Amino acid sequence: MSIASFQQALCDLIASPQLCLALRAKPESTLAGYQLSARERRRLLEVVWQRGMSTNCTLYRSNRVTPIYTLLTFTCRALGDQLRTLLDEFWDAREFQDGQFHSEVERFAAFLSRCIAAGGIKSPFAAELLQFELAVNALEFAPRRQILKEIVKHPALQPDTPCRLHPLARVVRFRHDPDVLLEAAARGALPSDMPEQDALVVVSVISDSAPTIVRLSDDACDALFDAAGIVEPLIPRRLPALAAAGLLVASDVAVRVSAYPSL
Amino acid sequence: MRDLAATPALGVGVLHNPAVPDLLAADPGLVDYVSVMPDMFWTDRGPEATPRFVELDSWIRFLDWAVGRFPLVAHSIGLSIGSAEFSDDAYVEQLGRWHQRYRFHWHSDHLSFAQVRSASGREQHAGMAVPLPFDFDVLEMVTERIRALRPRLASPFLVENAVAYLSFSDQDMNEPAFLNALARDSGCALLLDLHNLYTNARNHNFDASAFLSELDLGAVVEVHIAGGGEFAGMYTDSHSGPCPEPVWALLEEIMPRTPNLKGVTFEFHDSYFPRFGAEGVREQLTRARAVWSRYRPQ
Repeated sequence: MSIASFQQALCDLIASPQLCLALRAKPESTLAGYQLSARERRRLLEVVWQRGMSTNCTLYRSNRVTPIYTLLTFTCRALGDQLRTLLDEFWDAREFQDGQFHSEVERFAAFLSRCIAAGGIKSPFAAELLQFELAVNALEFAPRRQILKEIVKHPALQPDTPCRLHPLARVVRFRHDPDVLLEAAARGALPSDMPEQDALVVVSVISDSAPTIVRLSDDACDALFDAAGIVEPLIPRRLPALAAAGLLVASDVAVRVSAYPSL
Repeated sequence: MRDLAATPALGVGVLHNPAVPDLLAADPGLVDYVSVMPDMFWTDRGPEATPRFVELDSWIRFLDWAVGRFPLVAHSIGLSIGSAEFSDDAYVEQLGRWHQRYRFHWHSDHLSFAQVRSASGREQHAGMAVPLPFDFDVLEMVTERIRALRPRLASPFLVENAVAYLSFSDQDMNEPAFLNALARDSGCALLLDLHNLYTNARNHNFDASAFLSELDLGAVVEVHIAGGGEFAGMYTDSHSGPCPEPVWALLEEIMPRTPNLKGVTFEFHDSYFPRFGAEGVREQLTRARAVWSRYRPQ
């Protein structure tokens, strides 16, 4: 138990500069919850004074922000100065269980969605950029080849075949011009505000593993959506552009991509 | 499990990252082999998920291209062989499947821990590879872990010396003695990361050559070389550019003394690639090949 407890204490310290300071100030109470040998206790008391502990704490933060910034780059850019405060609030070391990019981003996205719903996010673009990047990530992490193999087994669609959206496609709603917004986010030069303009885009990885983005026409939007969301089944005759682009599959295609189920 | 003696000397390789496929597509003769981190090629959805490991098509495409063109070696980051209370059978099985599929010549991981399990049973990731104290009880624990692991992988298993920004007092032995005992008792070989050694020597003010004099260089099968930089008062193993001259000197120093060395792998982080450039990578690999050829003529 002693080695395990020592490792747990060391991880807790690396994850928390505050805990390092607490250990410097109040060694007995700070280490009270760990079962340590005298040597291990002494080592922990020494390492919190070492310059390398500060390096470790910084690397820990850097390593945790990497997946978030890598997979939610546009969202992070939209959050701007607020990102640091949000990360401080989000980072609970005990929630960091597996070090996987996917699950860390999933947890942060769920946290950020709650903040957006509560009105706690200043950026007018964060919500739509988050949804866009979650869609892109879900598709990029999907087992694309396996899904395409499965779908090709099904017969070709007829004009009245009941359909749904292709599992390798996602519809994202924008509240600002998506072309302008995504271009500005890619440049890292988001404006403070833009005129509101509802638009829908389809993101897909059907023809290529790199996502393609297609803006839906007003007619397609009307056929695809009602007030409750996507109208299913989708009928190729009513959505010729989507059918021609291969964005529809028969409703009985079982395969689905269920990334970010917690959202 | 393949014998080390049956493993050919490969030459100079590069550790895969997202910048590497384009480099190798443009110039396949740049390296003799490719080292890959299997963990980066799939998403691990966790022990409860089915399927747990979902492969990333865009990454797998490179491996499927590379497997017929280059010898491959595996460098995993998820075994956490230094963890006191963590093991992941499904992950090891996944690695085993990948050995069957990609015929890795050897498999390495780090002498450190990244995963802990608290008293409440919850798992927690350290956010980085945390080094171990070189004590007898730790040696015994890691030795047992590697003994159990080796038969499950189809190739020789190598342990890499860790970079350590902290130093632990009152250790039972020093790092070379620990590595020597680990190799002898567990049957593993060593991956000697010369940049980790350089980083530790520089930060903790010890003589890297003296370290090498104590290390059983006969156990070294792979060498890593890389660059780093100053950060907040410490020199870090950031893989941010060319190898410092002292690392090249260490490579020259060990080449005549490593009879079982099979490969020298250059590591760089893709986030630094725009600054480093293809030409920068090419220069490092060319220099490493010149060193290799001088000591291992065909």
